[in-house]
Amino acid sequence: MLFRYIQIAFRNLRRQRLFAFINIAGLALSMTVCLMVLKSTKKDFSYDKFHPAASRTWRITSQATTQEGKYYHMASSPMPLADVLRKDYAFTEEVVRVYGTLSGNVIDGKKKLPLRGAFTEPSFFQVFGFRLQNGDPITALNAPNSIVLSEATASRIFGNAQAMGKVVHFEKLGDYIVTGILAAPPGLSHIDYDAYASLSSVPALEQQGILPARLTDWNQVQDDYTYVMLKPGVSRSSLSTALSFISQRFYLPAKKGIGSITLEEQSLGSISPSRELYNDIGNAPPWAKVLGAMAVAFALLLCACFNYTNLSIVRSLQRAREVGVRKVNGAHRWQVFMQFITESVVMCLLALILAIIMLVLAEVYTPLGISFMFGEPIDIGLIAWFLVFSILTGILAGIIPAWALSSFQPAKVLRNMVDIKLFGGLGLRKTLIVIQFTLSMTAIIFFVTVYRQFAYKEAFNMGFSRDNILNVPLADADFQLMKDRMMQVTGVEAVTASSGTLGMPNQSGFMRVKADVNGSRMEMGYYAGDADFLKIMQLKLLAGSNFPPAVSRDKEQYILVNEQMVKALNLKSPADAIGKAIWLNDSSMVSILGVIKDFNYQPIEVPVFPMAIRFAPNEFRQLQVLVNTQDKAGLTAGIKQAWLEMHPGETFSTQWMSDQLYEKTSGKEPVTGLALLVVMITVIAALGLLGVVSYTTFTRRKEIGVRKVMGAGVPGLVMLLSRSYLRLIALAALIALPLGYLASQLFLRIFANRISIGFFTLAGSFVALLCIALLAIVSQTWRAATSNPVDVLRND
Amino acid sequence: MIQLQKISKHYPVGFGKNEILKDIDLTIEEGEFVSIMGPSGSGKSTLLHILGLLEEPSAGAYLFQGERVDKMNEKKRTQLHRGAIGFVFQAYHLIDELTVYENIETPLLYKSLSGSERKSKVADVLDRFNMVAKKDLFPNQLSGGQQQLVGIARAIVAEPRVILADEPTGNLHSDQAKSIMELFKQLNEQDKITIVQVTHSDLNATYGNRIIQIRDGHIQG
Repeated sequence: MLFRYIQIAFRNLRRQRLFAFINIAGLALSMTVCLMVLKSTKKDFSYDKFHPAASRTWRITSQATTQEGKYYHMASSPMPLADVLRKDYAFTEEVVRVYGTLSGNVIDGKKKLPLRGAFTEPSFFQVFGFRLQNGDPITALNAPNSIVLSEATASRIFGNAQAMGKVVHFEKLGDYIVTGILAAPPGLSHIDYDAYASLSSVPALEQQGILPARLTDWNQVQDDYTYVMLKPGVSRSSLSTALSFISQRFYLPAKKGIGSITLEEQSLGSISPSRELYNDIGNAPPWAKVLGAMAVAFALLLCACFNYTNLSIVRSLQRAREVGVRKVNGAHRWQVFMQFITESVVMCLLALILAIIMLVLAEVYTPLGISFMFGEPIDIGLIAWFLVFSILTGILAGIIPAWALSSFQPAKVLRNMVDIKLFGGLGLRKTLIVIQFTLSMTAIIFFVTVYRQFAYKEAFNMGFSRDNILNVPLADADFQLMKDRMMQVTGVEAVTASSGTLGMPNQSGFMRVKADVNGSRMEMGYYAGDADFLKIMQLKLLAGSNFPPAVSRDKEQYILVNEQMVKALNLKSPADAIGKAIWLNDSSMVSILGVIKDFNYQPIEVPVFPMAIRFAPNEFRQLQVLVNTQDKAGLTAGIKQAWLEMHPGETFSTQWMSDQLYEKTSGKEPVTGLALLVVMITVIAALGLLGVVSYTTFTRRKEIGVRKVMGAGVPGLVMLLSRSYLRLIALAALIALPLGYLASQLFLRIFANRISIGFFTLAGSFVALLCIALLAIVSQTWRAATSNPVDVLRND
Repeated sequence: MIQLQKISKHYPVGFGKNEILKDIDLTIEEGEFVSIMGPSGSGKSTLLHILGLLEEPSAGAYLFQGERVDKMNEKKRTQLHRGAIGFVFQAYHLIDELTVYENIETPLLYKSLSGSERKSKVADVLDRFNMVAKKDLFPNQLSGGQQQLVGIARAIVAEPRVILADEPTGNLHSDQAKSIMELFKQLNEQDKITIVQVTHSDLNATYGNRIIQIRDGHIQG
């Protein structure tokens, strides 16, 4: 029976090529996106599954309200909490702290390797189920200054040599003996540090003042993560009662200068995908992103399903007789229903094959950089998910047409085909078309806005120069020595030292300043730069002067500020600011030497805030080399040689400032990804419209024939046939214009410097969609209107 | 076998109703070959549809093999279709996407017979109608007479007690019509299948052993 259904499904697909093409293409396109999302979602939900007692393990989080009334829900908790839980509460089986401050550079000869680690306790291995490939989990983290490395970290530091028993030198945190190498964990975990050192090393570090005092401080909640494994059979409520008791004991009445803190448990299973707690750890994406990706994929899929539903209902006239015959021959309604469901499932399985091919091609050939594309590799489990998914899709797409078709009464369909009422009348079909085009149009408007905003961002004059400037890391060399050396390279015009690249996200420093000793504090952004900074960045001095060539390297004396800073200091003109003193970080006093014209030192998402350029050699991170030559390769080679002379044995890396800015701020990724989605959703909607118009026009061919015989002209007929669809597109536009406008406004609010959406974006999007829809409509109605009426009328 | 008592059928039209059949009393015995005749619009086809349980009468009682069937639900009705009633249509109503073999097999599919039973029954019928060579052709590859032959083969494959034929030769020319009518006669006489046909043709009516004239929803005489 099933075999017969499948066979007839294939024969129908072959006979109805347009129908099959529209459906399979649309479904395959949207399923490709769905599969990508399915893949990454499977990964997102695979976190923290291997921990041995996940159902009994809880993380303690803290909800803190500051005195100013700011509320933070933090994933961390105070350090002394662990001891209280361990000693005073018998229901805890294990308590473990993960104190994430073991970060910094590891020194290996002349090389410095950044490392992200945490201090933790021996119970770590029991609670989380991590295994050691070398070393003893019971003793590995007992003694002070012992460290367990991940496999990758061990080979990064020690290469192929045996790491056990060797010493890891941290730049600031001291030396640690390797007592274990972690085995690769069986799955993903939100706990994913490079290295774990014994928590017993911390007291000494606190005594020396290398780490801030946290071990006994109940009021510092932001650095340590506490996990509790309860004894079997202990309920969650015992833990939460204990926590609220502890909160009251240690935080009430609210102490001065703190605000209030409440502790709360969070189950291990609910950590990933993350709930966006204030200082959460791990790589799991937040729920919003997971749900967002799912919503986009589902909307696309729904559009493709609408096509199937619509076309199947329109086409049901052609299948009605078959239904009648089958029923007369003894078919129950559910059997006919199952037959049509089988057909739509077969269609979806075909689309699935195409979608998997597209998915593989997309991953192999175009690393488009759409972040949700990267998930797990395809395996049997995932294929099973895909199958289940496409069968569900088939049922979803086929359920309405199958219901409609199986409801046909044989007496009616076998006697007189013309009388048949299509299921749901025109209302359902029109609604589906309108939804599709509304989505499509909204997406187009949103895309045009995003595209224009990023184009605007790229063309935006941020007020500093970026061309022909090569960024060279200073890497702890003396800036003056290196500057002098660079100046000798042919093609180098000028060199400045700076703390970072202007216009890059997160490279500006921030500090508190005061206008006088007792004044109120305000925040100021800054870049550190030397006397050549203004010249190379082409910043304009409005008043005062630049740093003098010979300025003290040890004591900061002078500062250059921007116009916003002048305003923030309540001064009238830039000239008034010259010579004014300001206090940096409550300690050093500097005087304003010059005022520069405002420029966008941060990406244009952010408005220009008060900022300063400081002559602070200890903050210099890089040299920015202005070059004047065509031979860029030769010049880079010269600079590399000079750099290596000063840093023997290290790796040289460099980047052009304009490239660096483009890479970080061009928004190429979201624009490409969005463009792809817009094309898909529009293609699906247009194909659906094409199909529906094609079939309904086909059913009206007799009417067209009669009208032509009565003397109707082709343009009139095209208009007659197209009018109702154009009305639908207009309706969709009416809904989509405000929707798209709102969505675009929401997006633009991210940017301080932004375009206005404007009439032409909206009108242009509408015209573009109208053209696509017209193409789909008129191509079909024109063909019908120009056909010879004799052919139709004779056959009847 | 078939007993109609005071059967009426009307459709709503605007605010009034359109009476198709009025107070039809009719008894058809097992093994009869009945021809229903009358001008177009007289209610022949509606009567046949009611006999075949494709339409419900508006009033009256219908007994099929002694059982009230006029108020049956769809499930039981379908059950009767499977076992007792076979249909033959003027427009053949074969399924275009199925081969001759598969078309004939259709009623058996819904009777939950095993694959081998289905095979042997379809093979028997194909053999009897001399269509073995054509079993893999599709309906549009056959002539009208051949298509109707397939239609009849499909109607009898499930071994029904009665065949209802709605102008079975209406789309055929006379030679083809003759052989189809002869086939009906043969089925009636040899297989003892009750046959009820609607026809316009006096010649076709002579194959049967009773003629029922219908005019304006009434049985004449």
